[in-house]
Amino acid sequence: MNLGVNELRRTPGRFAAVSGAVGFIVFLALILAALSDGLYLGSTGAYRSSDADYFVFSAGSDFELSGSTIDQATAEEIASSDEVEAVGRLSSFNATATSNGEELQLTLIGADETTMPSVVIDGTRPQPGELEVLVDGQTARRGVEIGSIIEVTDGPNLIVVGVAEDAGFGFTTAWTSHDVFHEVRSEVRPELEALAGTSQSLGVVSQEGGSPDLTGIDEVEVATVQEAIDALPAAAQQKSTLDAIVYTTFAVAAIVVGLFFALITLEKRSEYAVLKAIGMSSRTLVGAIFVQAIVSSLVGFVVGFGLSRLAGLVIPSDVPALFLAPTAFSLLVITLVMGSLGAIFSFGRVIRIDPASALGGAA
Amino acid sequence: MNQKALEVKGLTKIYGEGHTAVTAVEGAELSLDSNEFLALLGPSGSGKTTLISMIGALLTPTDGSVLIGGDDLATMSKREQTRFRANRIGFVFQTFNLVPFLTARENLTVMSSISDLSKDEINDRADQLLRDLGLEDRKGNLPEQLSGGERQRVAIGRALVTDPDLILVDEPTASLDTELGTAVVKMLAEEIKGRNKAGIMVTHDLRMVDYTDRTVEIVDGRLEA
Repeated sequence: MNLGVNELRRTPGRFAAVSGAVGFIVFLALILAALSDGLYLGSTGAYRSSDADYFVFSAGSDFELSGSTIDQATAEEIASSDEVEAVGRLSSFNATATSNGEELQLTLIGADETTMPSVVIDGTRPQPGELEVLVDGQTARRGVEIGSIIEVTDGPNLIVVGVAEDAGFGFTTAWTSHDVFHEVRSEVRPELEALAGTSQSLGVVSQEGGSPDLTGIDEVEVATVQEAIDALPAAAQQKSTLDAIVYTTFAVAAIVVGLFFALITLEKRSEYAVLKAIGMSSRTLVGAIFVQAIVSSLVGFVVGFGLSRLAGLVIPSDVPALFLAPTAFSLLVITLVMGSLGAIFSFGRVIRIDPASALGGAA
Repeated sequence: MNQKALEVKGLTKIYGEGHTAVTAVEGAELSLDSNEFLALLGPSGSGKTTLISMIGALLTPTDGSVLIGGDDLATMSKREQTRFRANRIGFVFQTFNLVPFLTARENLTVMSSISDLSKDEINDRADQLLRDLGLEDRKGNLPEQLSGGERQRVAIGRALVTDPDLILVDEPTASLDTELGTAVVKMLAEEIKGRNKAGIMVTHDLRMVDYTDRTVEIVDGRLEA
């Protein structure tokens, strides 16, 4: 019979306060983590959604699309390099547009088959030469769905033909073939007409097990997918800021659990003294507190998780919140670790209780 | 030679050092047979709690020795003393001190987690003790649902459930009225002597000594027969 479990079973109300407090902290952390994931994933999909292993930028661009220009000859040279399976162009530009009567800040991405999102969850990919686009799932949830027309300001109308999950790149994201991308960009911004035949970046798919050596190619710099993502200034900063807030909330959770069990230990000094006097070891008592801290934290996590899922139902679709199972699992582990750390504060107090104080009426 | 249940030899406890030293117990000598129930009387501050704490392996003496069933407490580590208390010494405290979230029966069977007796043995002994103590109908109740007398009877059961050699009873009537206190002490005496145990009861209530075999008084840390 575990004393800790028995007490939890018989007096659940006593632990409801700490579970509730941990629950609200977990709720806050899960919402912040969802926003962090949503912002991060919603602004890095251009690099993550395709099969490309590397992205090639022009030298000196610091892996930023806006500062990079790759010409056709370079693209062909890279395509013919050893251990390169396929190469695709990737470019983007921002424009204003309307759809279903609503104004949009549009990020239009031009891509080839290699750099287009590899998984289309609904509809088809845009056909080369056709004024068709594939939209990100978040965009689709905001009402720009298959069949919707995106009217680009000073540009052509584009029809949505497919949806890809997790393919956002900042604003309302739409993918089209690279040639159509160039056509749209030239209409909206005629001064960029001269960039015909170039792209901002190249996505490179390496042969299975291969690792192409592109260092010999002049005037380019090569980034892994993660390096390309890390070079996006807003994405990394937003994520690190929100993650810091999430971890701070968990430090608070540890303090809450620690204070709760410190108070409980103080309140139960006489009970612990008696139990020690009759032969119960400190280890057994500490084990009971540990079990209670873990169970209270677990219940708190379940409460917080439930609240966050409820909140997820009412969060407006234009808020980029993404509730990811791996993030929830990580936060569960952190919750349990923090709960355990909080309980450890009480261990010393329990160990120091003198069993002799049970006699003489002191207890 | 007949083994004594308890032998206390030259037991001394001094708190502090130098000119601040206070002698709480000085050169206590005491022996107790099985089937013997002793009353330890003394005014407040006389050293009776210190003495009983040393006999109960809760406090380390400055000098002297305590042998329970021939086992010298001084030769044991703290961990061994904790285990010894769980198996060989039963305690009945002043204010019942039952675990509030365990039922009457569980307050006895909780000892199975620390006793050398098997879980089945403890369960059987707990059921028998609850019957003997007239608590069979109350075994599923939490302490808060029991009367003061019932709680003290559960505490007696807990002290006996591991079949210890020595029972130490600390002011068992302090929280009870006279009638109930008398009934509890009478029951204690019957249980201790009926089970061939040795027992020491700390009390300041002279009416309770009628139920013990002999009385020892402690004054200013010295035992007086």
